[in-house]
Amino acid sequence: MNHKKIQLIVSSYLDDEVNDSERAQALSHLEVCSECRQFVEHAKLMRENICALGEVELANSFTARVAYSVEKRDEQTVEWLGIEPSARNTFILLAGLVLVMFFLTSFNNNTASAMNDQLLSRITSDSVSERVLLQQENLSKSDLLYAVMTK
Amino acid sequence: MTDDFSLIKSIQAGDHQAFESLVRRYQRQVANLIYVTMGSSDDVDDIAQEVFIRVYRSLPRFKFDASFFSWLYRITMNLCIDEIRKRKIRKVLSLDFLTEDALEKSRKNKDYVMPSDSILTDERRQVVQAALQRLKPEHRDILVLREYNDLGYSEIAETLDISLEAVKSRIFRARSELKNLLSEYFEERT
Repeated sequence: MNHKKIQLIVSSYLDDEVNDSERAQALSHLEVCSECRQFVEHAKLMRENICALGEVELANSFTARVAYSVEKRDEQTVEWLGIEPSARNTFILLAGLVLVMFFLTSFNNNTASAMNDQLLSRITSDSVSERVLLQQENLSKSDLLYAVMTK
Repeated sequence: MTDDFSLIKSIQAGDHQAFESLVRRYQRQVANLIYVTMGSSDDVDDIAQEVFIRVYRSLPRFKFDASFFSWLYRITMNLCIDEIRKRKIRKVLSLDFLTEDALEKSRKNKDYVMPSDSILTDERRQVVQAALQRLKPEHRDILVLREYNDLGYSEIAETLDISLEAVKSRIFRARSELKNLLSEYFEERT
C-alpha cells in the first residue's frame, strides 16, 4: 500500500471512522512513520482549537423576530390576492415586457410608413404610370405602392 | 419530541407554532455555522434570520428524501457565500497581518513579557479563525462539519452530497492544508 493511501487511513483513524483491519494498519504505520505521527498530533491540536472557537448566542427574541418576519410576509401575500411574491414579480415583469413590445411595434410601424413615403418620393415616375396616377384623385398609399410594383 | 419531518408537514399545513419549534431546534447550530464560516460574530444574527426566512419560503417545495439538516446546511452555506462575496470578507480577514506582523511582534516581545493565558487563547482563536477563512471553501466547510459540528463521515457525505471516499480524502486534504498554514505559528509556541 502506498503512503498516500495509508495517510487517508490514518486521518480516518483519527475520527474513529475505520474498521478493525484499518485500525491495525494505522497503528502499525504510526509506530514507524514520524511524518504521520506529526500529522496526527497537529490534527488533534487543530481539533482542540477549532472546538475552542466557542459558540455565539442569539438574542432571546430571535425566534419571535423570525416568526414576525414570516407572518408579515404571509400578510403581504394575502394582500396580493394570494399570489406568491415571486409569481407577482414575474407577472409585473411580463406585463412590463408586453407594454414595451407594444410601444416598439407601433414605433416600427410608423417608421416603416415614413420609410415607404421617402422611398416613393425618390422614385421618378415614368410617363405611363405618371399619366395613370395623374388621372386619379385622392391617391392612397396602396395605389402608389401598386404603381411602383407594377412599374 | 416531534421529528423534523412531522414539523415540516405541520408547517406546510400552515402551523406557525411548528415553524417556531423548528427555528428553536436549529437556531443554535445555524448561528454557530455562520459564525465559524464568516469568521466573525457580527453578522450572525442577520444572516441567521435570513436563513430561516428562506427556509420558510422554500419549505413548500421541501422533498422528504434527505435530512432537514443537510438541506438547512446548504441554505446556510449559500447565504454565507453570498455574504462573503458581497463584503469581500476574505481580504479583511487575511492571515497576512497575523503571520507576518503578529509573529514578528510576538518574537520581539517574548523576552520581555509572557502573555497571559487569556490573551494567548484569544490570539490563538483569531489565528485559527483566520486560517479557516484562508482554506479552500470545500476544505473549510468539511472541517467545520467534522471538527466543530462533530458530524460523522456518513452525515457529512449526506450533507455535502458526496461519497464516503470523497469525505475521507477531502478531510485529509483539509487537515494538510491547515497544517501547512499554521505549522509555523504553532511551532513557535511549542
